[in-house]
Amino acid sequence: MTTSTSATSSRLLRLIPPAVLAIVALLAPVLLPGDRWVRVAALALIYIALASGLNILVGLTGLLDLGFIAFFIVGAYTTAILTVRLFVDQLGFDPDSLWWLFPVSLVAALLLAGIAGAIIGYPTLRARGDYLAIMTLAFGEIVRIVSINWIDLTGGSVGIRNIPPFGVGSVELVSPAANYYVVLAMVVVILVALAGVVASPVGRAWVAIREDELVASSMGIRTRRYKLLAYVCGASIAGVTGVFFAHMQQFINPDSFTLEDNFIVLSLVILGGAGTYWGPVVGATLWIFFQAIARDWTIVQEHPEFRTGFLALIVIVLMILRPGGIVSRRLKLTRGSTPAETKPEGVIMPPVENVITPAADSVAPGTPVLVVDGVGRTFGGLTALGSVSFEVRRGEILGLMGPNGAGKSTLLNVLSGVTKPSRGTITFRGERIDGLESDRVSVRGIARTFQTVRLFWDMTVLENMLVGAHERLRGWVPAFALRLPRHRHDESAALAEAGILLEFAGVGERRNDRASSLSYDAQRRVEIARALMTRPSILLLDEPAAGMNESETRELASLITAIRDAGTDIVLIEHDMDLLMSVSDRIVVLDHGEVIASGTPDEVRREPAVLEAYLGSDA
Amino acid sequence: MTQTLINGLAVGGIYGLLAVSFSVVYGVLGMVNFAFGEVFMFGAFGALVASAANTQIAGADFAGPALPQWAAIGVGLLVGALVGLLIERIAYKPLRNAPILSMLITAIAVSMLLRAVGTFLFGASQSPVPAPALGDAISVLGARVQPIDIVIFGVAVLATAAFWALVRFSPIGRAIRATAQDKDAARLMGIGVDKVISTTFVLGSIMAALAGILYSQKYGFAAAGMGFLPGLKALVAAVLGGIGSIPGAFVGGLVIGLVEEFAAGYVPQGSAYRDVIAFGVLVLVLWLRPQGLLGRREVQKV
Repeated sequence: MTTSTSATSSRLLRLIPPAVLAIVALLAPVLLPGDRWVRVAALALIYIALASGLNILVGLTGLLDLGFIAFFIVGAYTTAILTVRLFVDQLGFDPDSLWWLFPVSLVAALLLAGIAGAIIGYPTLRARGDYLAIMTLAFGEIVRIVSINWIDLTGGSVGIRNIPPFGVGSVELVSPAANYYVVLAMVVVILVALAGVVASPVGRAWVAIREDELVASSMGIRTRRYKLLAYVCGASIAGVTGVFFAHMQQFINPDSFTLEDNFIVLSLVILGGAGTYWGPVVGATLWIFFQAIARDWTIVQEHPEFRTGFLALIVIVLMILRPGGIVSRRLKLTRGSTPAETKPEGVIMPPVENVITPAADSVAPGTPVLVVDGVGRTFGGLTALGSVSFEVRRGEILGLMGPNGAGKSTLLNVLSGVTKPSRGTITFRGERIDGLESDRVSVRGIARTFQTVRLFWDMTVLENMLVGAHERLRGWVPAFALRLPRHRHDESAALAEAGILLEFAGVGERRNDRASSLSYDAQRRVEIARALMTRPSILLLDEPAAGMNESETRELASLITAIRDAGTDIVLIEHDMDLLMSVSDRIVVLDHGEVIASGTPDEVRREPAVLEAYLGSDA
Repeated sequence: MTQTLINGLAVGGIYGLLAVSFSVVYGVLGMVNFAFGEVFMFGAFGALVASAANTQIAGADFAGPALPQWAAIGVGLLVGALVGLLIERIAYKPLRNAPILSMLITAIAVSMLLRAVGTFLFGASQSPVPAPALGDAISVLGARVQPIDIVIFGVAVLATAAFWALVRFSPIGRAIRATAQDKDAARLMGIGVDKVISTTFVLGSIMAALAGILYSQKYGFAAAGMGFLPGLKALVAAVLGGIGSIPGAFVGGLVIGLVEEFAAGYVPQGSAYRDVIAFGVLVLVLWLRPQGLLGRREVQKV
């Protein structure tokens, strides 16, 4: 009873800041002294939208874009050209009757800026991060130079004037306050949609890519697509903002968008807090108002360059002292929550077996499910794997042992799609999987853990788990932006499932903790539980006991056998011989990239080749 | 034709020098130091102020030292080296273990800060730079060629060759290459990695400052924002040449300079879009070969 009231009151408390913010935002035109400041507030809103859009790239996904304003320019010119150049100049419409064209412009700008985002984003699929930064800078310049020089279309340095103001029917919204409210509506829509997307599989995929791209892909996320999606989303927001900006100003010319604006928007994201939700809002509001105040200072009037100089200085100092920015509050990546205490009463939890293998498996125990045939891998002149053949059978734990450098980790990377085999075939349930990307391997039912634990450290345990459920939660971006109930329902189901798996792995009570705060042992267990969250039929464990003490290792052994008993087959790489011998049903021994022995633990133990590999020929 | 060629080689030589700066610092730090465009600018102003009889700095009049041309160039290089050392020590050193994204953002901020400082010191408009006394245009293969272009190209080639030889054959060059390959191993071998990084920064800054001085001599002006476009083009050149390689960066610079000059001279509307051409080349190259024209693919480590 007490817990529920305190929960309600804390929920109410959490609603206070947004409520205050909403009231301030609504009353701003009344509270601010004079039209000049209302215009400043409207400009702040424009920058809030831009910074929030750029935050998707820089903050969430970890992609630097130094030419972001280009998308804003695309949006602004789209509406200006469509409205003034085409409908007024060419088709002879009366500018006052064109209010209905505004939504058309919005859609056009959304599409064009989105396409521009895809064009600039496409090379990121393969190029390195710093090349990308250069490329975005160059792309921004291309758009700017074209907008200056393509005089027939853009009006060159004069720009395009007489863009009709916002309006409905014959009512024109020209006062600063009216403009402010129109732009406020846009910002609210963007922020609400963004909140929906952030707390969805899409937002989690973005953050997962920023945190650890390889792990993200081993959870079934098509990382390239999601990076491209980040570009398209960010660009679309900037494009839409450009449309509003053009109609608010009623004119545009190349001076409306300076080169420095790229840097300013980026700085606002950093200042407020990259990767947070409110950071861009705070950063943009503070800076635009500060800049407006500073405009009255003599020193700034004499030296306008002090403003960017000062902003640059802030960014440099922040990067050294407080890289998280002003709002360093962690982003929540799910709306749902499971109470930390225990299972909710009255809810019947399905047994863990049903969670781990939800679909009844018709394959009889002992049937080969994963067949590795003649697989080899060469790095330059070095042969890491010669020609390896073995099979994993239904219902077993297959141990993989061998001295250092025997090729165990390479083999695991080849099996999970991280590395492509140079030769040989891998067949999983009758389907060739060699050559597939690791996200596709994951989706087919092969999950893995990593030699050194690789969690998404900035996420909570539950959020880590939800990334594992990416494949069955994913959907269409607009559906998440609109928060359709179907997705909310799916997400609750996944959260319940995550709770069961965490209990099963013995870390149920840590579900709401940040991954980086866990003990080493708990990190290992969460990593295993997260891999199970992808509902694998085979789980590849890469030295799970490394760094554990004896009692932790014993408990790990019982967890591993429990996973097998629940219906997931296991390939276990381990240096701890006791663990390997005690849990494995069969063992394959590798040395110098070749299989030198295989069989039951007892058979392998007596194999002379194994003794020789481990102890030298004299033993 | 010959005129365009010589002009393109001179411009390309300037881009090449600056590209070498970007490339060699990228080699040791794994980051793009966007601020070299501003070191380029400070180098040009350093030489200009040192050679002038009287100058205006931050709006106040000063008597300049009126040094001879060669000494003024030396001062310009020194100023560049100093600016490079300062930014490395103050802005980048604290971020040695920070994520690459933080370093790139800092680099952009440093570049903006230096540009603001440059605007404050030298004004927002262009300052004229007197042309060096090299005589009238000479005739080469029937075309009239400015001697300054030949000098610039010659200086750029010599400086890059000297720099390459330094990195290739001297002990500090060996330390730089070792640091670029593996910082930890270099440290274990007793190399003072921080010192090597600072040295690399200073050497790169000297190259950038030299490029800036040549640029201001060729075009007859210096300005606070003069480094941005050449910097961006030099980055493109470094990417073309496979960032990290000195000869690659220089050749990349020559390619960009030549493509730009020939496009401006022979393509309709070419001069209006001169600055877009280099970026068009970059976009194209990264679409086709993400690792750069001469670069190698990076192997992902697990």
